Amino acid sequence: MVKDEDRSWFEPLVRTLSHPALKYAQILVLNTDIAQEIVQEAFARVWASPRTPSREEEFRRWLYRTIANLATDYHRHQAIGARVALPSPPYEDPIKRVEERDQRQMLLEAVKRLSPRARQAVYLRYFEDRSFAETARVLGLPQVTVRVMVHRALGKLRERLESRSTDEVAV
Amino acid sequence: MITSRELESRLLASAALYDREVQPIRDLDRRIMARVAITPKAEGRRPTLKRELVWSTVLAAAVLGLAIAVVVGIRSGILHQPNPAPVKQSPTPSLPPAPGAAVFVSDTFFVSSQVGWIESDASAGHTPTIYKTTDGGQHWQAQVQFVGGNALQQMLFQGNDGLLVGYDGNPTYRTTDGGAHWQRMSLPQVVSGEGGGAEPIWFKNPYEGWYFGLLPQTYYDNLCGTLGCSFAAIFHTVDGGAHWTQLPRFKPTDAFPNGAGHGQLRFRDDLNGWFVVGSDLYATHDGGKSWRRANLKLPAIGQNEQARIAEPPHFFNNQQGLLVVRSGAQSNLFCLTPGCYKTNAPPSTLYLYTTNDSGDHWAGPAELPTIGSVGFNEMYGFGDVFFLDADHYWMVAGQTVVTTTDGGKHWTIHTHVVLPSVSLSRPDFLSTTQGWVVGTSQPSAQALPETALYRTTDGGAHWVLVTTPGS
Repeated sequence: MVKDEDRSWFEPLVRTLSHPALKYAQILVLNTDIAQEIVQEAFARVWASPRTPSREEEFRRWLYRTIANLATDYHRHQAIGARVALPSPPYEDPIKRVEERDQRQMLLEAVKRLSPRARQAVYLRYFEDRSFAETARVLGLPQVTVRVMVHRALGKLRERLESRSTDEVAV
Repeated sequence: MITSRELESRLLASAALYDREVQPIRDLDRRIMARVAITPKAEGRRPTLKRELVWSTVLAAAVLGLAIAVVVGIRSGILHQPNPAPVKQSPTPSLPPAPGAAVFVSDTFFVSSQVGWIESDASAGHTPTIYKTTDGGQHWQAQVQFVGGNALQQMLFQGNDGLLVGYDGNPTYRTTDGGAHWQRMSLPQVVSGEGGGAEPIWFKNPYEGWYFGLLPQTYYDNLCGTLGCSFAAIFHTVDGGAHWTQLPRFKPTDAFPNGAGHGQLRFRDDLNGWFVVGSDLYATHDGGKSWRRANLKLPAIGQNEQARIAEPPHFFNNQQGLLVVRSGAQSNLFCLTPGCYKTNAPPSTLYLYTTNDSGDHWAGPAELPTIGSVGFNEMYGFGDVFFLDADHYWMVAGQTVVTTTDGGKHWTIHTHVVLPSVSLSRPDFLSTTQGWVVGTSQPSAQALPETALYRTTDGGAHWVLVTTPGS
């Protein structure tokens, strides 16, 4: 039987964290509709669990891990489709490309092309400005692993930005 | 050339841009609460806010008391030790120099005093590389770049056979000629090459390993919702990953409630295995077909503290084994010394559980020594403790090495074995006397840590710097 149906402690957390959770989900799946579905599902799961902490920071970690797991499941489902038909490279609109010359936009696009795991680490470290220790805690990985992961991601971002600049000079 | 600092500040600036890109969804909160309203709660006891408040008060008093004790402890040089185990204090040896190596040593594995491997990840985004020495570290030969996937989780060698295992098993490299040649191994054919849990793969030696794989088959229930969850199965190899045998599938959310995605997998043999999620220990005695929660009496903790299994069961033979539970405050409290690696990790306590009947029963908790104000770095976990056999253990933190030769009945503490700017981690012992440890220092909060390798030939009382590539 359900023992605890009092949702009064849960609603303020939804109000505070729904938007950060949406941003986190969206950077992981890069699809607004899927991100919304994942966020709803994640809140429902943490609500269902009797062990979900009610303190905001702990709750947020718990929620983010649930979102990451759901995003991983989503990527796995996508992978099944990818075996059947590989996605074609995205069409780059020349006008949009000019607009994207804004460095921050270019960087944001480069972040979105990182692997999902690297994206998680970069997002938590820089977009949410969390320490390596906190990022590692959310990801459930040793801090040294997260440091290595983030520095490899920075290397990839640097490569992409520099090759992009070279392309543009060549054009 | 874009510098790292420049790139980091641009990333921080991109956060604002991303904020504008992802606008708040007006009715998202309502939809979440509507979903919650139709979601049944699983059975269990939730701590009430009132209870949390009481515990918070108790914790605050405890923290204040602890902080005072720590300050007094530091000033007087006293190290806490558990009763009743007596502790011997060793004399301060001459100090080896601080790290300054160009490479970042993240793992070590020595098979003799002369032959060993290190994994090195240079700090400025260079490629992680496995180096081998055959002369005790005087010379190093780069053998293979550990690329093509995640960071290294395990490095195992036996004779000429070796295995490098990345997180999620991606990548896994194998050698049968001492590292002269390496072959990339394949994982079982699961959906995406990623398994379940934070550490879904684990090898006991370079030959035998297990993998918690998610299958391309989905089930739907209250917990998994409309997205569904993947069925899982344990895979077993006895030839370093060349061939994998799949065991019957199971529902991971049923087998491991509250955290199928977060656990660490370990097996003692082809039948007996464990999956650790936080403070929960799940055991299988049929090779992973079925799992049940093991009965482990956790140490008493306050409301704002957590206890979790720092390392899944570790067996020395078919009967004797141990596991370690760590407890401590959840929040970051203080970081009093440079050696605490800027994680602000609070002092935490380690508890030892032992078994003499193959893991059917676990005796404990027995408190392990706490090393002054530094404590054990929570994020490093088991990497700070090394168990050679049922009697000989080493623990390191800050500049201190703690060792026992009788399974924890008595402890010897070696303090200040390296310079104050160095923090020790990852002890690795070949025998009761010969061992290696990684020393880390961090020149500034923004800089990457630097590492060096130290070696002892007297069980941890004295350490000398070992040359590493690039140093």
